Amino acid sequence: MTDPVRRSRTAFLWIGVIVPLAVLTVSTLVLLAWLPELPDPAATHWSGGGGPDGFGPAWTYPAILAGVGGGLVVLLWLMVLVSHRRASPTLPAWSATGRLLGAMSLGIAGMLSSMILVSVGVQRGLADAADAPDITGWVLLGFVLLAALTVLGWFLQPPVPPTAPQSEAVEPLPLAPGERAMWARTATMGAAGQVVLALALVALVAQTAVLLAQSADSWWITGLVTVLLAAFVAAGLAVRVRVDPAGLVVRSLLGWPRTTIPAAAVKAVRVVRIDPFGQFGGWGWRMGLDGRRGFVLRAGEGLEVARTDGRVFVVTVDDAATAAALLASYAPAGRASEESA
Amino acid sequence: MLIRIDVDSPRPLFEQVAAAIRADIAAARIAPGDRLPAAREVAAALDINQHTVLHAYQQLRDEGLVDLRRGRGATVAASAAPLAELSHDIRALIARAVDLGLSPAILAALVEEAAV
Repeated sequence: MTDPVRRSRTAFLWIGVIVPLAVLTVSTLVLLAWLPELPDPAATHWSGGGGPDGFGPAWTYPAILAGVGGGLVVLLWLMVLVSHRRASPTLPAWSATGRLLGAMSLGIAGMLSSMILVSVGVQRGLADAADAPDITGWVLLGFVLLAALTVLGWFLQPPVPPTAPQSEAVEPLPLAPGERAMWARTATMGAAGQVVLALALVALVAQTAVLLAQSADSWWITGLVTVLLAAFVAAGLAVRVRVDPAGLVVRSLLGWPRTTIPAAAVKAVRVVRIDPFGQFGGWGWRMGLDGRRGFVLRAGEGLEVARTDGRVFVVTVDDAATAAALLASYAPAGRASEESA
Repeated sequence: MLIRIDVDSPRPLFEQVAAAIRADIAAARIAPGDRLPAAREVAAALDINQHTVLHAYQQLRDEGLVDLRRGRGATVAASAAPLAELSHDIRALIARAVDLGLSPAILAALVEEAAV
């Protein structure tokens, strides 16, 4: 492992694991010290504007902070460990997703600690929990803290070391003057992506069903999110990729979304190895943290096209080398070398 | 799949398209069950007549390599599988012929002779 990667992983361990766990531990100890001063039952729920409307035993506070807060930090840690296994040849040693998850871990620990400390702090010395003041302002401050600490955590970690390009720019496919060629292939979503998206859909459908059963007014929000996610999943299950003299067309089997790159707008073509979780945070039509955009359906080889306007497009597809060679021969650079030859 | 044609070649275009798809099947770039692009799509991409592409697809159907069904378009037939199995042997034979100083064209002629 190279030094910059080691430095990044160490920074993640401090920013995303050790400091958040320390913050949660100290906050939990403070809560435990405050417990004897709390009214019984204590206020546990506020409904925006006004005093508390839910009450329960005071020990729920330290339990929630240690359990939920600690659980989330450990969960994010495990996600990062699993998606950056050192032994794996296909996974990256470090990625922007790891950096982001570390920053989020710090933000979440700060937000939960501040919100719960405030909720408990305002009740110290009260005889009746119903006298507790409104805490809306403090809750908003908690969200500000979440955003601020996430940004801080991001910049406290070193930039993600660039991975060495796995392949050089491809050689254009040699075409005789009268020759024309097209390359086409269907790319489908990998098993990992299908499982993750299916689980997310099931969870959303279940949530909508529960809300419907409780005849909650808000069921349509989850319902709408479910329908939208289902549409996105369906649109990302399979895409048609085509390279011809006009350029590159990548189109979902549903017809949308689609990306068309005219040959004249192609600056460079590469074959790359793509890691959906590490580089793009998931599967489907994606925007990577490094600015690359495109259809990321599975781990493995993909076609990367740098456009003349600076944008970079990717699509994971088998036989990407042939597609890249053909597109390169129709790009302005490929044509120029062909004519000078 | 890669379809390559040469408009300057004396060989009919439909034969070139068919040969390209046959080569794709032999090289296992496309497998039984895979859908071929619509004739209209291929015609537009290569700037040739749609009927030329359909003619190629029909020839491949007559060879048992492609299924043509109304509404479903063209798919690689199950009976095309042996072609992919042969691809390894064919490549080995070509390599051997090159070693012996025989061009692929002479090899093709020899294979055709032997089959008669």
